[in-house]
Amino acid sequence: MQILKLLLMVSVIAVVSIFGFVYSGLYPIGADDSHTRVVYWALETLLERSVANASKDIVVPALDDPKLLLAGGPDYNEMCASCHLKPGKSESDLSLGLSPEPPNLTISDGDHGDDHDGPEQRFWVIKHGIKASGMPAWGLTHDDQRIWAMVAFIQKLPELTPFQYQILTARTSSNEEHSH
Amino acid sequence: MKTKIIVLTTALLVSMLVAAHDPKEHAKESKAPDCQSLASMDHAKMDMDDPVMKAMFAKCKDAMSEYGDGHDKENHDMDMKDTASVKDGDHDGGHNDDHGHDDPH
Ligand code: HEC
Repeated sequence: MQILKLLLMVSVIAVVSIFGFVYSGLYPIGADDSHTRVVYWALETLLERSVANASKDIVVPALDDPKLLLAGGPDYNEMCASCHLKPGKSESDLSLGLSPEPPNLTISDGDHGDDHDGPEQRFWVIKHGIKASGMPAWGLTHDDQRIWAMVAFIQKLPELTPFQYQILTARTSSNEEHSH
Repeated sequence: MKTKIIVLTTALLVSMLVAAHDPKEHAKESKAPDCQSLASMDHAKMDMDDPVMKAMFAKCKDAMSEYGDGHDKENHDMDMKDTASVKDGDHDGGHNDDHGHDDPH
């Protein structure tokens, strides 16, 4: 009985202090102030687990068709390069200013590239975006085919030279944007 | 109250101005593909089974046939001119091989 009372009190205090903290305004919300290790770990894990879970049933189509690269290139250049960079560019206003910072998609992150960089995860992230980060949901305005083309393009992106990138992403009138 | 509204409206307008200027990356977006450099590369050394190569050649074939149509500029405000004819002061860095246009073929 005694213990039950104690537990109840502790949880009431915990709840009150969480609300108190939220209302106090003491949390530093600025994007130029980085997260503490614990918060960073929690958010990163939350993101990885959530994306892995949500994308597990996605079937990946063949992605090495040159047509996909040609369709995805100009879209990437216009919609994504400002945050995710392009060959020959290592920072931009947005890549520096956002928190969480947009990953540089022109380098392959070999160390932890195993599970959260699969094409199905990338497709899911591009389509649905990531809450409370700079990453928008592009699926509201772009169909799946177009998103897969961008996935195909960013799979190749780390190998591209600035010259190859320029040719692949130039928008010619034969692949003008149709759905905007 | 009135001043508040004025201040807020001004702030809103200013922020819209800023937003309108922000995507400066877009300034460079419509540029013809740099196919001249591709043509001048050593094709023997290229791996023609590589999807990236295939895509580049497909893009450039397209771009060439477009220029081949003859009537260029009319409704292409997109800088779609022949990559070989770099005139009218358009040396804005798109062509990084400078010898491209002062070289009489
Ligand atoms: C306004 C900036 C911004 C734009 C524009 C943007 N993104 Fe992102 N993107 C982000 C941020 C920030 C993250 C990381 C979010 C996080 O880690 O919580 C992200 C994450 C991603 C990821 C997951 C990366 C990984 O492997 O962990 C992919 C893939 C991605 N973006 C693709 C795209 C594509 C494709 C486009 C264009 C259609 C795009 N993004 C446009 C900001 C942006």
